[in-house]
Amino acid sequence: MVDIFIAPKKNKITEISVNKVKKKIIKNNNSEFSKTVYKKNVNILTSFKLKPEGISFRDQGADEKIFLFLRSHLVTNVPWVITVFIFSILPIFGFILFNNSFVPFTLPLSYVFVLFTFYYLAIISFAFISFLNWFYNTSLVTDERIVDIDFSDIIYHDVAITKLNLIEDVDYIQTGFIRSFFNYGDVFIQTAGEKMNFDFLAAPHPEKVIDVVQNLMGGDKDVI
Amino acid sequence: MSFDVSYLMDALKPFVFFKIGIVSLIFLFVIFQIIILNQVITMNKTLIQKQSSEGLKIFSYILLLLTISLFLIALAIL
Repeated sequence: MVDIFIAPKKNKITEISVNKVKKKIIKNNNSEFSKTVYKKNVNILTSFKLKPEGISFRDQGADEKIFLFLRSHLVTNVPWVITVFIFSILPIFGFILFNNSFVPFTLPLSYVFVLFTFYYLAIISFAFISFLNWFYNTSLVTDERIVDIDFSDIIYHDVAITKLNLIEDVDYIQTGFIRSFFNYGDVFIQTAGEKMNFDFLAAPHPEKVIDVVQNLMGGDKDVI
Repeated sequence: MSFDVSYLMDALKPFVFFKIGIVSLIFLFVIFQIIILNQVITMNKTLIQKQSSEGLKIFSYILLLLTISLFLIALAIL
């Protein structure tokens, strides 16, 4: 019987190369995906992130998307880090100066232990509070509003919110060598709301912040 | 009529005031740590950042526990 159709034999080499290309594409896609996720996930030291993931705030709407996440630049933490470092090594100098005792008078060992532990606990607490001051001073720009969370010295916190359509003017100031070098500055947002001014102090990439806010004010949600 | 004040003299041994001072300072520090913990919990409700928020809460719990331990140790050994 005459064959009407004969299926062509599969070329093994072509098949293998096609599979290889497929695997490469999948691999590349995965790495791109993981890179994107990594890039967008906000970690504990993040100070600037466009379209952040893994972050939300109280009273956030179900459809409300966060477009910008801001904290003061990481460099602003340097002063307290230096202070903590100096106070941490201070007892060593005490031991050298006061002949194997970190205070200039004689104390029983139990007192030395308690004072020493208390001293370092106080330093750790100071560092922790300073970090919290930086960590919780956050600003968020969503597609509907701007949220400014102020937190200072443990006992004060203030959450201010304004709608994007109430914003009247956005500007930034970047002065000084360190600010220019690390590219951060103060962003000021004037509103027609009850709270007249919103300020993002020491915000990284202030020019981008302004771009994002202006784009969102104009209804352009493609901010990246 | 005379009063026996010898027990007072015993109480005013060296380091007694120092001891009371240190213990009260650590006690105030415990209260301070409780305030920090409360603030962290409050702020974590305002701003929810996955993992980091939990980490900070755990750290403030550890600090509080360490301070309470130090307070108890100070009470016991001073």
